[in-house]
Amino acid sequence: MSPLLEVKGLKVDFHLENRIVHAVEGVDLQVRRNETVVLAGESGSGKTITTLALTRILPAPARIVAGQVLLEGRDMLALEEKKLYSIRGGVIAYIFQEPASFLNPVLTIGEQIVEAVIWHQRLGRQEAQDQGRELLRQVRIAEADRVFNSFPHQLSGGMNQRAFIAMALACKPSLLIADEPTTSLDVTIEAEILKLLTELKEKVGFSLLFITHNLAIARKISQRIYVMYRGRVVENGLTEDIFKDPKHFHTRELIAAYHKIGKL
Amino acid sequence: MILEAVDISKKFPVEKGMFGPASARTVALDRVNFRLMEFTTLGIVGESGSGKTTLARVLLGLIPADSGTIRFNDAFISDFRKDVQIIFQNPYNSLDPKMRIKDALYEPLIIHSVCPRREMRGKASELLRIVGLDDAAMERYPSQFSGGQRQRICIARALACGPKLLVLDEPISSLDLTIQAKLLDLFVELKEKFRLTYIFISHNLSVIRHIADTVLVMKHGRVVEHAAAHDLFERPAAEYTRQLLEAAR
Repeated sequence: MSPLLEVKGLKVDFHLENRIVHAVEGVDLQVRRNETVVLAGESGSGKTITTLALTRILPAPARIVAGQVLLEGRDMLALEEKKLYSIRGGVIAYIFQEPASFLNPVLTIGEQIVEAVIWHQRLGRQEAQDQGRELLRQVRIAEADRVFNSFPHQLSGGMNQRAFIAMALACKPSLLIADEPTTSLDVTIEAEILKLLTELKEKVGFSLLFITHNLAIARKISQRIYVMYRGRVVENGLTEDIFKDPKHFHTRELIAAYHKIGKL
Repeated sequence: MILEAVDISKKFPVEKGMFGPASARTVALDRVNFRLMEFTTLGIVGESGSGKTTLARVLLGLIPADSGTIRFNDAFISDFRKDVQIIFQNPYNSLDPKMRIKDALYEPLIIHSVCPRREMRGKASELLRIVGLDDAAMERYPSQFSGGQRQRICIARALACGPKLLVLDEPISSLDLTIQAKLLDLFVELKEKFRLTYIFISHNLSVIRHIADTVLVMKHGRVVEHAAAHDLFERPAAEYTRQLLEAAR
């Protein structure tokens, strides 16, 4: 069976005032159905830009200059903009590091989830509200009704991240891209969110592409790892193989940091 | 002993409405006690909101405690402003974006009359070398550095006046793990070199295990456990410590 997502030779440039920066220099990667893949690497290695390019939501100075992004066989880079509307969120959904900065501060959590549900599933308001509450329960929010009526600033970081995950799931995506979703959270909350994502992946049935600089997380949740360094994938393989026999020096650096302070 | 904290308590008002008086007070610190021995590292761990940063701020006198006393040993801390320095989590906010690095380093040298003006450049250059940066950094602005480099600059600034006690409030948490490991090595090296005492706040238990001699575990403003690092990680006494360790495994 063909993979859910196949990226071939992706190149992204940043066109700055007086120069061009090659942010992503020919990335190949695959995500299969129901698989958890980690994209690891240091800040600035091109992880986030690679994943934003998949649905063409790159920031202004960035341009995709080469490559293919095949999602269930269709090339996302060749699709017209309009066709992408239902794919963004609908097939590929994102969660990010600071949920609070991606949630609308003047709308309640409920209003925001309902908006997503109505947009992607074409439901009526009442049905959408019922489903919104159900989604909050699905991400193990005990007081779903209270959270539904709360504004983001009234909730903790962990709770906002759960609500954000609920919103991402509202559209029943096939691929969830999680960009450092636990980096700003406490260890206890981080462990809960990782467990939640793994459970939901099994239950709901999506693939997870998880970005992190922390290989402790990769070891916990992923089957395969891609290591990026300076815009390129420098190593990839099964998670256990990468840990056993890392080839590239940056992979070794990441593993050394993991052994030193990434685990107890 | 370099410092002793006795029964430190602190409450904050909880805002109710925009204009009404505060109706309730939340307990940030609840009778915190500890002693800090010189040339050791005290690790403080706990979840967000457990009172770690409030404790640091109270120790530094940045906010007053409601009750309790902090005693600094005069043999070590004679000039508080000079002898006690802090490094914050976010190096992006701790440096003036419009100040060249050399000026950021000159500032503490001038304020604390560390050296005559003609020796400042040499001193600043030495500070940069100590934290692993070179002279090229002098003329640049903070935006031209990575997060890890900026934190090194903050460390150089903190060391400028020859402190005895450094309070490190999540000093590496916002950085990549590989950069965290390098900075942790730097902290260990500096401690030996300058005979420093550290209060190291972190929510990352493995970082604490790496650097701390004794550990204070905080929850809801209280100290739930205070033990030698080795004992705490091998034989945690409090249920809450066990939970934290479990989550980190």
